[in-house]
Amino acid sequence: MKRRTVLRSLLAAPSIAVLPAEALAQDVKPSAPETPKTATNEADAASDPVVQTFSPSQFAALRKLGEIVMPASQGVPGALEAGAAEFLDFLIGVSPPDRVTLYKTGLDQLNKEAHQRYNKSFGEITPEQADPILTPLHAAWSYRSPADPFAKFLLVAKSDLMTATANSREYIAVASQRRRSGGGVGQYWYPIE
Amino acid sequence: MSDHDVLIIGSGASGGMTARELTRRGIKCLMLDAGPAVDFDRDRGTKKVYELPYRGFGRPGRFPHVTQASEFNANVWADEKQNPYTYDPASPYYWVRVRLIGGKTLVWGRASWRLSDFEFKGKDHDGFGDNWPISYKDLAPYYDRVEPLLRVAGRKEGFRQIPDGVFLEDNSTDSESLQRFLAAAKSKNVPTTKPRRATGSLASSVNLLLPDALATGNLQIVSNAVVREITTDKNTGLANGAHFIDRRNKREFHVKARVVVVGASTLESSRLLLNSGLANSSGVLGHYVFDQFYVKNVVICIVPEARGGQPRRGLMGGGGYIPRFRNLDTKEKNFIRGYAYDFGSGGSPSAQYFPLYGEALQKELAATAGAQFSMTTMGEVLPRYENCVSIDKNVKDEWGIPALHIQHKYTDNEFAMAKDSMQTAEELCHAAGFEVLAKHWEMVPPGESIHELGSCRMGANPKTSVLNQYNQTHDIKNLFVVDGSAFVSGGSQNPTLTISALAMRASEYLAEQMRQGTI
Repeated sequence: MKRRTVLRSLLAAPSIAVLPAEALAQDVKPSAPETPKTATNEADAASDPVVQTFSPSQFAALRKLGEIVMPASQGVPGALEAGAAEFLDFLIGVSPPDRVTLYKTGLDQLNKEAHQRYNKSFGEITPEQADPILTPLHAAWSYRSPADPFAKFLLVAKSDLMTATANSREYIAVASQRRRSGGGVGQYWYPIE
Repeated sequence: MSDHDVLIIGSGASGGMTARELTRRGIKCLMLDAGPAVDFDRDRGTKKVYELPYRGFGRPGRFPHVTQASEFNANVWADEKQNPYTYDPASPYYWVRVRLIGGKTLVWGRASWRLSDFEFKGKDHDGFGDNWPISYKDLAPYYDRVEPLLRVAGRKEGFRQIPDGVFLEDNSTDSESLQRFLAAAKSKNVPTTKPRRATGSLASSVNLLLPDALATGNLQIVSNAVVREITTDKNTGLANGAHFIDRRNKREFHVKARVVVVGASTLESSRLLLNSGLANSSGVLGHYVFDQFYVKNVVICIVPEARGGQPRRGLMGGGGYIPRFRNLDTKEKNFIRGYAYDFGSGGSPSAQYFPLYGEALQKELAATAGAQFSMTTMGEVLPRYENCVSIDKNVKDEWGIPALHIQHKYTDNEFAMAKDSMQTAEELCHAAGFEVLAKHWEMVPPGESIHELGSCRMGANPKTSVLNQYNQTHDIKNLFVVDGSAFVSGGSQNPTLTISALAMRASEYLAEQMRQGTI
């Protein structure tokens, strides 16, 4: 075997940390050449996201809304622990303009209502104080979205915060253990061809 | 090299069936499909939802008209930017497409109901629209052959509106909650039955139809072939092939054939004929588009005994079907034709139905986990001339082919049916002792049911139809259209079984005509 052939087969082997001295001198045939699979992590498992879409006051309101709508309960992470607001800052930022407007206007309205009632931002009030502001979330279900943009925002944000939480690494790690469910695993279709 | 007996455009239920029937009779076929072939080992895998870039939400704005798309399956659906279409913004149309070998049979819901003479001879029954040029007895022998091919399971009931077929008998027992619902329906003279569905881990053209055709050695399949135009002989006016474009590099090709069979899917087939300027001496090509309207989750209920989060064994689970029961022997006050329901026991109601948040919502969700009973309405949409497709010359797809403009509205008949279906569903669920958590009668936009039909309808009169009873164009004897475009009316039954049976019948006719030398 030519020298470069030997080197190529060695490089294709799963581990090249140790090269026996005789390997370079003998005719080496790896039994089953494999391409090593490199373990990687998702970015949010090893780093902190940068808030880019919402202003600090809007983002604080969204975090508080998440804490109220989807709190941690009996050891299961809630929206805060799941980084739901941080994720939605990203998701809404890449969404069509009408969704961005819905969110920004709605978050501003939360702060405005909190200031009018308590002279505080929404992020600073308690869940009990927030309840009268969140009245639209007590309305009976209707197929059509409410005409009032604030009510519409609250329903959309409630759904988004719950989904962003339930689909998070943190939530699934705990919930799947308790329910013995599939743990958020699904059949994924790669780009075809 | 490029001379073939039959050119088949499309590889789904109709194209696949045509290829199977023609090739086993010794006819050399070339199949073109706009998409690539799926390699199930390479193209699918398991992932956790938090590993997806958008945490399961999907890329915002990617599929504004495909509500079925999730971030898991997004790569299955045809890209909307590459494949544009237009509509009046006041009347949106949701056109859901799959451009892969096998077409929508890769993702279909598998429900397999026969049409009956309530559809084939609908005009005789209530005076509206037109009859098909065939009756149930003409298609019954083909249904008999298609059902075993698709491995349809179901239960024989003797219902006139959904004739029995050749089923794998479904003898499964019903859960207690289902039994209560079935008894309630019976008390109100509403018929019920088991689902009728194609079975198996995959029930697609790619595993049930195309392998048989390929095994004959008489079929070649060309993938990534976007057909632009069907060509004709200047002297005879007969179809003689097609121009197509390689999806990947936009290289242009032409293929010759003695016969052209179009099974590119409803609306796509009419788009191709319109772009080719063929088969429209009647002026009705593109007209009489319809589908089946859906009222998704027309009622959402809670089975009271299942409250608590852990329903006892045997209480919940399973599902069934209510075939059309309106306007069979009596006449309703404010609508003609009828609707069907799917119903299912089990699963958990969505958080959106509870006017709660926080701990209170979590408690309610836990208490109702697994306690849901739901129904969905599927109703007949009347075929109307004014619901139609045409070519929008201002918009072209990725390959420079003019796009469709789709004009489709529901009318008072559909609205009246939808409202009636909500009221009836609520009555049935109350009679079963279920708590109705939510109800509505809002239809999804036209097209969303993915049961688009018509636009190239068959008929006995060449002045009012495009195809004859064998899916052969009246204008060009060697040009056939074998998909759902051919439907004259559609009832409330899922159409794939009938599309397959019609394609089988058309193929048999075509093969015989070729044998006799008349085509």
